Amino acid sequence: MSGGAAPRAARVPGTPYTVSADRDSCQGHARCWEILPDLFPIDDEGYTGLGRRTPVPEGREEQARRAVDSCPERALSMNPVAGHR
Amino acid sequence: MGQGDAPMGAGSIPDHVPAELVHALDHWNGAEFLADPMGYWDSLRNRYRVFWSPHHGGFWCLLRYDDIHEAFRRPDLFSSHYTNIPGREVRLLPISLDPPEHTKYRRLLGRPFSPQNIQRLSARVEERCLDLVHALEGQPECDFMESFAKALPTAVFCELLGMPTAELPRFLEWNHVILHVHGEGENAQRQRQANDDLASYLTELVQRRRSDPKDDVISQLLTLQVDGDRLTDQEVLGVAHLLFMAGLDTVTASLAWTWQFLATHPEHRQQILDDPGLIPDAVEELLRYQSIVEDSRTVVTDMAWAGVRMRAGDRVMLPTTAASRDPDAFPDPLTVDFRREPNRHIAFASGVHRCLGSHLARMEMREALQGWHARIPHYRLKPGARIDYHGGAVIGPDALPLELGVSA
Repeated sequence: MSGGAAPRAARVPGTPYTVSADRDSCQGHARCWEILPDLFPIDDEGYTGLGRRTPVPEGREEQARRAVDSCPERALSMNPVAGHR
Repeated sequence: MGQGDAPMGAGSIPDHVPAELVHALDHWNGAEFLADPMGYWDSLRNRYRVFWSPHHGGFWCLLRYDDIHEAFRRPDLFSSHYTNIPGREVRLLPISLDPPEHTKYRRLLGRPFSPQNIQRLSARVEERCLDLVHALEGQPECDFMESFAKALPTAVFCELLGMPTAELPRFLEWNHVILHVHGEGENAQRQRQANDDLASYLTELVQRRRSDPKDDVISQLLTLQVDGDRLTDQEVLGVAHLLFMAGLDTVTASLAWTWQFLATHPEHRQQILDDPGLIPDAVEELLRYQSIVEDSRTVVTDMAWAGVRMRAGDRVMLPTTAASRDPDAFPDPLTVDFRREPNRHIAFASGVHRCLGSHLARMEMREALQGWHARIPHYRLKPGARIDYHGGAVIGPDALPLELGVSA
């Protein structure tokens, strides 16, 4: 669980992804919201409003990856939709 | 690094502390530490995963990002009952609370300090920056601490409390006496007086806002309700006091470290001049490179952590400075790269005590960088100037003499 030194696997073009938040881990740093506020909403107290398996709009995958990787609590994840690789 | 032996005057070593892990760091007064605090943390981290210092009652000190990050996330193992070393008598709420008491406070305080609410303040903070920069334009030199680094967060504090800018000199004086004067002898009396005066002022302000609410943080805190929980006037007063104690010299120190870096690295400054859109990322990287808060906890129960046995009651320091430059967390950590990705620094800690003021601090830093460099793009450290640092819970320069209008 290092600070992000390990590189992520390359994204497969055309693969749909979803992002999820572990709300119990969210501490309201709001780094994700800074990068992509539409996909990573926050509530009035600054904590994530993201649910589970929210689709990543096409073309936003790189930004979504940056936002997921920006979370100091590792509360976010991004996964390919089942059936796609 | 010659501080490996426990000097006279420091406490004895508890028997559960391995002798080879004793290192007599005095983070308040150690001469070698204060000569170069950032470098000293780096050398400690190169040498130890964790060490024990016999100073100030004795304490463990973690050094790695992973160990520190995880400790912040375990309030059940690391209590915030005292967060300073040595432990302060005065407990600031909610900093000194553990869940579940802490949780109620954080929910109530979250809204006034949320990113959205802070963004609404940015125009006023921009104006305060401009006021300060206008006063400096055309000047050949300045002490950045007095002219800007102390003044900006103090002015923002006044904005938060809905006070007119005419009140600023009074708060600058309190800022100076309470936060920047060493409290011994006559100074201790001055500090007590200043603390009393500040407490009286804030008490009266809270009462005024109770009867006549305005659009400011105090009024919001007085009217907030979460699940039937509200803050009492006394609690709101405590929060106002916390804002003063926790929100001024932190931002001051971060601004000072940032300007010291930019004054001595013209190529980085040029990146900001060429593309002000880089400023938010520059703020994050500079917060990482120069994290300033050395937070502490108290061990709740006998346990193993970071490869050592800790006992209930042991004090533990969690230096964000050391965590933020850990090469296992940040490749090439001593290189300042405004485009560094990812940058999951914990300058604002992690876990439930993640700095409530983090969004405000970031906004102040961004506005400061934007407003200053639009008008004073070139500056350097005054030649021959020696920078002295203060230690303790928040490390930073004492003074920062700059020559304006010239480049290093």
